[in-house]
Amino acid sequence: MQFAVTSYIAYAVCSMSAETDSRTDEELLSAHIDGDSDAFPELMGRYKNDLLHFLIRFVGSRATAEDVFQETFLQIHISAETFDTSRRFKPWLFTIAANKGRDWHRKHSKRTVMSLSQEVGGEGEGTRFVDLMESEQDLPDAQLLDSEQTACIRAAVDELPSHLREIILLSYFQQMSYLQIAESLQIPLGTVKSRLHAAVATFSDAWQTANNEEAA
Amino acid sequence: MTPETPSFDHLKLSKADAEMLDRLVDVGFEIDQLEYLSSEEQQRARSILAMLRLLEAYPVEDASETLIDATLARIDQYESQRVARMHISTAEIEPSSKGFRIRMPDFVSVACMVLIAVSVFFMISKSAREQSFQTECASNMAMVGHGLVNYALDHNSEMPTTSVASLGSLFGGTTPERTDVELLANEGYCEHNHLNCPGHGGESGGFSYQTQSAQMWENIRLQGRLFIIIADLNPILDDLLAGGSPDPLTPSANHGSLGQNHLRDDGSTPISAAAPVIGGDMIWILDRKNNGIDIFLTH
Repeated sequence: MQFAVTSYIAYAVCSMSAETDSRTDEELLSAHIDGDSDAFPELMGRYKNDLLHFLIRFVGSRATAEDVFQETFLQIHISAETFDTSRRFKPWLFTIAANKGRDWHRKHSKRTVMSLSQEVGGEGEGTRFVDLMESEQDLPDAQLLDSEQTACIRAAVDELPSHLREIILLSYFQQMSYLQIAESLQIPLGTVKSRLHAAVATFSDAWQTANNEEAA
Repeated sequence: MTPETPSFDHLKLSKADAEMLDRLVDVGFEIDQLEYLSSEEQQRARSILAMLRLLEAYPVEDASETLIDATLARIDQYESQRVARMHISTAEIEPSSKGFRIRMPDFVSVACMVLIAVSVFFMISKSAREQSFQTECASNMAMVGHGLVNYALDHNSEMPTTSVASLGSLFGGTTPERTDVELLANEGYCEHNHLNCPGHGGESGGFSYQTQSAQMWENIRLQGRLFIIIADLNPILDDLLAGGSPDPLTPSANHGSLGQNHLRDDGSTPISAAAPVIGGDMIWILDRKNNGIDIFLTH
């Protein structure tokens, strides 16, 4: 693969023309492998906000998210030749991003990292079930939250363990199916389901606790 | 799990919520695509979605204009470093019959690893070999010691000795007598193969022997003051004979510098440390201590 050290200049020239590239993500990646210096900046441009938002929610900091963003696309660049272009690019991108984000959590979190294939929680003693419909609290519209409520949301998400957070983000924001997540993270499908259930329950519980404290 | 996290993992959705969440995932959270919902199910689906929509309030910002530039710069930096690493690759080895290529860095890396492995193996092997030689050498000395005891018992407590005219210069012109292990072996008190140190490649010699004037041998016999009968080669003897003044504390280079095997008159065969001082005597030179009786080993 050729990647000239002048790619930055090439991108700068390219970005001055506002033409939209009609090629698919997979075609852009193939073009990048073949030495098309415009292809990779175009690919990054398509996902810069989507991926950065995912990473900010996943790692909890914009600065870290930007660093992980760069690592993600560097990894894409390094591994581009191994990508099966008959598959979709986006799940691969978010899989790599999730892996990089998880690496960051592993290095910086004091929590013990759970085995990737481990099921979440049992139904033994101590398991608490959350029923969202029975919640006594009316949920506000996300667009109308005040700053305190936003802070509560942020705290509730940041409190989620990374192995739950990545599932809820991939599922809700990237709308990946259970099967796609299972394949991407290489964990059993049942584990993906149980983790999403636990993630939603945990987020709900954390949000309501934080909101009640804030109201009090 | 550690105590820090169990509270998260002991929370689960109710069965009804979990089933509805699974259905929502299947339709990409498009509630309108769910068919045949009862009013309770619709309410449940909306509750779940409302909870999930709260996630959207998590504060995020769009990427800055420089993020892509910074990422490209990082990739460029990676490529520059990779190219710099590849500069060592001035040649490629291509075994065409196999269809694969070995680059020079790969070759150099493998060669370095092989060299390190070989040198480590060699050092271990050499050390083990020296240890083995040293043990066998001490064993040979012990067998010679048995022979000497038996010889002395058979010969009125006398040691087997032979005159060595070539050492006269060290004894003021008189001809000294040296322990004669050849005689010992010839008379069947030990085997000939016990007379050598294996550390010297099985060649004859390899040992140095107690050497005294005839009068001193008599004194030794009468006073019983002999400490050392045989030892590994005296490394400074040749220099002494050549008229030099070698350092009497020259460390032993025998047995990979482990030290000096020696046979004592009590039959023991210890190894001394590298310094050639045994019983307060520098055994490689003749300096006439102990009432004129000195330990001096020649070959």
